[in-house]
Amino acid sequence: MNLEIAIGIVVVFLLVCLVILFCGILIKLYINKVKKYTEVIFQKDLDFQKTLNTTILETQEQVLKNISQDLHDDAGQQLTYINFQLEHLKLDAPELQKQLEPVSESVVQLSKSIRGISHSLNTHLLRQHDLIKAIVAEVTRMQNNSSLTIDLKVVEDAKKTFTTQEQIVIYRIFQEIMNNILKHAKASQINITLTTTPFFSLTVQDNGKGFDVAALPKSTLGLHTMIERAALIAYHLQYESALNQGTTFILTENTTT
Amino acid sequence: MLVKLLSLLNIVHIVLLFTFFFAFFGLDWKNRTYVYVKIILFTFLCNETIDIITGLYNCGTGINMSITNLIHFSIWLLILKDTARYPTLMNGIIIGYITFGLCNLFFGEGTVHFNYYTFILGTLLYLIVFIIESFYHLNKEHFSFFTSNHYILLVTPLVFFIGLSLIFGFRSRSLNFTILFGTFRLYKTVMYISNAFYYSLFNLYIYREYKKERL
Repeated sequence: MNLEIAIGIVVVFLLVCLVILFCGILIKLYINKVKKYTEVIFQKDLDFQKTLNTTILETQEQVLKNISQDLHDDAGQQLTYINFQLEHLKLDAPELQKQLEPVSESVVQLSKSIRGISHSLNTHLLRQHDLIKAIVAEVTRMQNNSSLTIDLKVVEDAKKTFTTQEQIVIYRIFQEIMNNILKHAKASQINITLTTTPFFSLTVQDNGKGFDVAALPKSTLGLHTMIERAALIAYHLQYESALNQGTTFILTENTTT
Repeated sequence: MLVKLLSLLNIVHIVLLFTFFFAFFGLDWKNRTYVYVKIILFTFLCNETIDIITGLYNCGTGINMSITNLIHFSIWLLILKDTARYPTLMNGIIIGYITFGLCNLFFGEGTVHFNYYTFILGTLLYLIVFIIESFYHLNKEHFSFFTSNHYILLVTPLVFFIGLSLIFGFRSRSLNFTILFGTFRLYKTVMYISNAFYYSLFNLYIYREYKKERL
């Protein structure tokens, strides 16, 4: 009788062991399945965000392109026509030439500015030429139009090829940084260092009023958007700032995959 | 005497000694769970030593085993309390269990024989709390709980408790010594399987904590 009970105990015991093992395996499988499912959802979310950002970027580019074309074709043409009329007026009334000369110069200057802004907004030139030239042109344009001292240093040991999207995003981030400095920083000096090899790096440093990074709301200055845009092309944007100590922006390409 | 001593020693004693030293030197004293682990192993070590000594002089009683089990279950319930949602309730359960164990020792099953009811009640309490907590965390999808080292520790005594409770539930001394096959008795067979699970998981826990501490 005892032997039968003993065998029964051993069998039940082994069954309990198997049940515990089975529960362990079941929990493990369940965890793996949920983890995989979460990964898929996360990846889908990332892809969606990427597509959304790309679409926003393309839409913005299209809007900027339209504004650029309007400025060039409409406002630019009208200014040319005004200048043409002024030249006619000068010929018809030579006695007014002295008074009309500064107006004519202002119109020419305005025409040049509008052409510059038009080129700055349009990425057509960027696509035709290259990013470095476009940045240099943008710096030259800004230097002409403000009292800022901009020091640009380009280190291009070897020619670097950028994709169209990279060119547009880097160029727009650069413009956004420069606009922020002009609007908010009250800086008198900007130092720009651009390195293309071995890895791309763009550093923009100003001597403006700076800001407290810890107290900065997430959405301020479009920083969040710039960081997201940089991430879109696998670049990394970081910034350092302190009150009355200026701001430094560093845009680098991610070297780790 | 030496022959008798050697006949009383078995593989479980060696594994226990190894685990004790591994825990003693591998884990520090700052973490409360580590202290619980060391106390459990120390209690077992003391129990086995007393068991061997009393075995040598043929004067063994069930009191040391009963006290060891009372301490053993109390500490396992304390370990379970660390992750339980209702620590106050767990404190009540632990105090209740100790009270029952002491009453059973002095006024119930006594100090001469092993206290079966204390062991079975301990197993039931541990299993109930363990199942409730596991179900809660699984329901909440707290996967880090199941993949943590602490969960390995919580699973460690399950097979040991269930296996021995199955035997002790019958409260039959003759059943324990029933020969299953060859020289293997029921108690020894279940004891070896239970201890294999118990010390494997214990060592795995200590090893993983040891690695984690040194990262």
